[in-house]
Amino acid sequence: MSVAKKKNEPIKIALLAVGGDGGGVLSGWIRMTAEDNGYWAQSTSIAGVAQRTGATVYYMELMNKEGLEKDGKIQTPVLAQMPAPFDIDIVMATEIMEAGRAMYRDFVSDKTTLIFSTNRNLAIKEKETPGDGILDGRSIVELAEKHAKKSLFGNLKLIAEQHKSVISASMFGALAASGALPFTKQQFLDTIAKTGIAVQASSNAFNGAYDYIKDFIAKPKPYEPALKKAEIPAMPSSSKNKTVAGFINYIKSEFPKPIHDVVFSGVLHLADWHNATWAQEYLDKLKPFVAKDQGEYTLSFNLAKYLATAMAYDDLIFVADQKTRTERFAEVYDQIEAKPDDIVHTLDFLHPSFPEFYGFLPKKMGLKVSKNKKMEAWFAKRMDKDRRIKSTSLFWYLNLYFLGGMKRWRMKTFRHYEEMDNVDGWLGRIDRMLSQNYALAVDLAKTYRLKKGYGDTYARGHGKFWLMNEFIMSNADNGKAQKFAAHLMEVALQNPKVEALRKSIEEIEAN
Amino acid sequence: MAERSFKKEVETLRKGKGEVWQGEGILAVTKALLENGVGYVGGYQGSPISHLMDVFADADPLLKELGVYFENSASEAGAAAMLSASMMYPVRGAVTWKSTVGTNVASDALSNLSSSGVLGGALVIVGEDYGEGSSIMQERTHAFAMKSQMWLIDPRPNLESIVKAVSDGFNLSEASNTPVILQLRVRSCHLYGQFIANDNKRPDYSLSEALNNPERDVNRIVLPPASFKQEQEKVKSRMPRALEYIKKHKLNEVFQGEREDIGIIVQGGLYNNLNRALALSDLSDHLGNTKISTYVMNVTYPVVPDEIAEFCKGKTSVLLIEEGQPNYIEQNLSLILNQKGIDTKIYGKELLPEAGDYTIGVIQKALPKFLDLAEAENVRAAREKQWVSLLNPEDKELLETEVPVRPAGFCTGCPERPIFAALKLVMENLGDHHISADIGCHLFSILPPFNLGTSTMGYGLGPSSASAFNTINMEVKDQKRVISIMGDGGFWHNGLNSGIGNAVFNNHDGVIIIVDNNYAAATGGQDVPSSKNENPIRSTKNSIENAVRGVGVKWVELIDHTYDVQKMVKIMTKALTTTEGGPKVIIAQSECSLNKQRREKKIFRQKMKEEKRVVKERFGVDSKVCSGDHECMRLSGCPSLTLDYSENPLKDDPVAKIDNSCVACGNCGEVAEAAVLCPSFYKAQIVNHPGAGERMAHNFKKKIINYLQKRRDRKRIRA
Repeated sequence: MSVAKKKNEPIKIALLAVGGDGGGVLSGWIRMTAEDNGYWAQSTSIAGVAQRTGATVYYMELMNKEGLEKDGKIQTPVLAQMPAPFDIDIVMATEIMEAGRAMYRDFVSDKTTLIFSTNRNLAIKEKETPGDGILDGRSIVELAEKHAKKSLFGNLKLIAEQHKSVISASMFGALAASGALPFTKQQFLDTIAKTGIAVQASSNAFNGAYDYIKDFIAKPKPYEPALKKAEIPAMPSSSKNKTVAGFINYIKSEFPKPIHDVVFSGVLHLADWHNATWAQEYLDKLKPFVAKDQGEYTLSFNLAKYLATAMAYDDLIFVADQKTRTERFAEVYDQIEAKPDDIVHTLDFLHPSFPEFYGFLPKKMGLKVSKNKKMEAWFAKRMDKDRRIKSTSLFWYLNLYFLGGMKRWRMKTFRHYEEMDNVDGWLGRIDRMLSQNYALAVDLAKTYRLKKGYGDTYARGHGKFWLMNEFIMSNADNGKAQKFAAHLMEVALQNPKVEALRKSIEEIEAN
Repeated sequence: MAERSFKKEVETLRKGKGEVWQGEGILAVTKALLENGVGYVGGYQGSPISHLMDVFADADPLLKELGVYFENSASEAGAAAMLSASMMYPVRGAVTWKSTVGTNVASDALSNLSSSGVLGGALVIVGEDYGEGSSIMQERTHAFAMKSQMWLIDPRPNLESIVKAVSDGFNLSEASNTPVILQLRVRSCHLYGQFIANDNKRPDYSLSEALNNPERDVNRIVLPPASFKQEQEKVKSRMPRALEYIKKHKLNEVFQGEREDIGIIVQGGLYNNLNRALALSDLSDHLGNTKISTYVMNVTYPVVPDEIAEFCKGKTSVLLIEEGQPNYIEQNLSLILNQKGIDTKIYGKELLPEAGDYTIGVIQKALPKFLDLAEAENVRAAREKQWVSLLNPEDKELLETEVPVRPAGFCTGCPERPIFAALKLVMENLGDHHISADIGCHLFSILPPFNLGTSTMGYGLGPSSASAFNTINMEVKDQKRVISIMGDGGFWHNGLNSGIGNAVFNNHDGVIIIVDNNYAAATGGQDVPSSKNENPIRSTKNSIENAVRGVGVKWVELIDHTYDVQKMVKIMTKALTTTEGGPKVIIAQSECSLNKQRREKKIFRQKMKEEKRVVKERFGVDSKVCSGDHECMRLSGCPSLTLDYSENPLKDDPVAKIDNSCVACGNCGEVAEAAVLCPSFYKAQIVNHPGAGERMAHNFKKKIINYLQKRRDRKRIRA
């Protein structure tokens, strides 16, 4: 099971860990296992700036003491404090991107057993992107399989969590299972027992990962990203719910097959957000576009998707409804890992601003108030403040419950009028564009992705949406418009501020 | 109290003669100090030598037994000045800090000390923060040794050699009446290894004896005419005695190889890198049996001319491996060979990079070049074994784009996050301002997602580096003010004087934010004079506010809960817009989360064990309410606040999620309110072991809520 090693050659191990992954504990375990079983062990570490959140490399060399003996004495070996390029036997990474970093840093070669966990600890760049900045790690797995002698991976963090333990324990199990070290499974487990801390949980996670990796070696598994986008589910052939069954039949008869699934998802989304009538209205708005769609339903698909989100905007009623639902309580308990009979209170942080206030008024009154500077000043002074509400208290629950049920009122509000006015304008533009340039009509449909959120975020999103629409409409005849639109969409999704998009548009228009 | 407890490590300091000691390099040095009869130890914490300070701080009973005095010096300058105790008395002293930054701060005292000379051994242990993982400017401590004529020891990086270097250092210091610097690279400080211990030794001469029998010698004081004499003494007496000692005790080592005609000279600390590079070319093995003769400079200053001459004689060429720049040793060697008329060719930085780490790969690249030029055999073998990149350029490029950088950031629950979230919001309201940053955790504000701060000039120098931007002579309407930042560590290090006092004296109009987290947090959570906790061997709880007012600041605002973002925004805005003159000092004070959690977790666990009512708090995000714009991320960067894809397939962009490492500091909710973001954040409280009444009330409420939920659920349209 062990690597064929000359007696006088050390075993070289690098461990890449993100702060908080217990890299120090794991390297300590490896060292201890080696020392208890006839090896000389040396290790070093280089933390990122301070010990905080950066990535740390731990480097270890283990040398069989048999090779160190001379005249009955153990000589001190000369061991390296850092890896030589492409000279590491075992590379471990507690996160998939760190496996990529190991390759980037020339740690991985055809002599390397690369063991990594596929869990994600998102980097700040991935988190702060306004659109979808999450890297899926597929190319890292491909490169690992290309360059390493053996590439062993799986969500070792998940395995650890399933055993109420931490990733250092499951990584240790994976290492034992890899067969890259000349120690038996029991020798690894003895180390955990010797430390005397959370022995049972650690051993369980160790065994879970051990079995998983043994299994993986016998039958390699394809890579599954830890974070995946939800797929649009297939439309069922029928439903017990009469209303839903009605919709299914309607979609079957009125819409082409390739878009059944997305349209059905849209219907459910709107029926849930408001009611069945509203879902029907969605279908009515969508239908004429589908009828005119001469392409392979790219426009229909995108419009079905974005129209559904456009018609279910985020308003006070939506938020109140969400915060009082059965699923909400279930999600809270799940997120905070509470048991079903635990007493849990939630305190919600709300800050309704002036637009939310006038948006909630009836159409005409709302329009007036929205333009009334005095009212705005009054609101800023008296009303514009944080509302921390204990949403699980009976008082606030009843308040929210009542608000969440004001669906009939919703249709009369200024906000609803504004939103639908905007949707109709957008649909009108798509309709006009459809007769000129199909691809740009699709791009127009996609711009609704930019409109989201509340308060300042909403204002920014709307600003970007509007700029994109203006640009596309005024460039209908431009041969390069499609390329530009794709680029601008990317800019809008990468940069939080409207100014970045405005600048890019100006640059394009200047040339 | 430091972030970590070192009680376990302290026990290893008690090991006696013949026992195997295992542990970290910097702790091996700590043990070696005690074995060598050190009388006093001081220093200023910083990576990579913090653990030496932390262990001594936890080792008070042992130090008392041995009669060793230890203090956390106010600064490196203070630590260096402490060594003057060894000037007139035969007592051994050691101080430690991070170099070169700490040596910069200490250099005034070091100059005086090395001019005066010492009677007892004086050792300066520096953690050389150079190369990968370093957080400071890239310079060499070597220059300080040369200019002040202190000796510099750079031992081979294994614990035996490092431990031996401590005793060599004291002996060399005493033999030549000169302070000695022991230089340890970052990796050597964190090196886990072993050595055979010796018994600890009480100091031969105690500080109490010194106090009761004071001595003075005007010739040892740096004042003319003694100062001129001291300079002569340095070159005429102390240096020759040092060279003699180094030769006689073989502090430098020669490893003979089979090749007589060529050789390698290497700094001790790089010896292992060299040997690995040689071994990879079959020119050595892992026991150090080299084929090319190697001279290891465990003492890198002074260079011993006789030893160099003897090593080089008869060799056509020698490769010098000297890390960092300028190439002081290379210059020195050339001079020695020239003066001695030896025509050995020295290859140094012409074959190796002029700047940067001398990693194994770097040395491996230089070897065949050297062997080629030296017309040596083995060259083919070396070249064949020289590493070639196994990654093609396309793969490398792909990795460059696919692997995100992980800039350092604030920990989960850090009290500094809301300060910078507030500052970022203030910048959005009042426009960008010039911000002078400082050293400490708060410097992470220059990195994403906050991207604040223009300069960092040194520890505690944030406010003084803003001093040119004094508005008193500016007559522009709506003149913006400068903002400077300083931590509590920097404040006590020198900022109270050079920053606050200076601003008062010069009527500086700027805004100074003092980030007070109750500890020197970035270096591992050591106590400072204003720490809030009880420390049995130090005086804590000395208020920063009183100190600031004491030096004459009129405008002071203390915020003792930094998580109140709106209040922070309000006070920062007030400071930037008030018409009042003089410095505006904001003290933003909340305890470092690492220390706080360490304490609170223990209490929580205890209460859980006793089945007492205890509330656990955490934040969460309503995934359906979150719109996926990620503005909250741009005002946070919290490790616990992350993203996941929505269950809703119609939503393209991932939504916020808080993982179970959340400590409910409150920043998420505060920021969501202050920046008017979104209503998706909530704070959850789990009540453990509730009382019977509480349980009943909860069940009653639950019944009503369940009824209402079911009522509405029945109407919902589901597939």
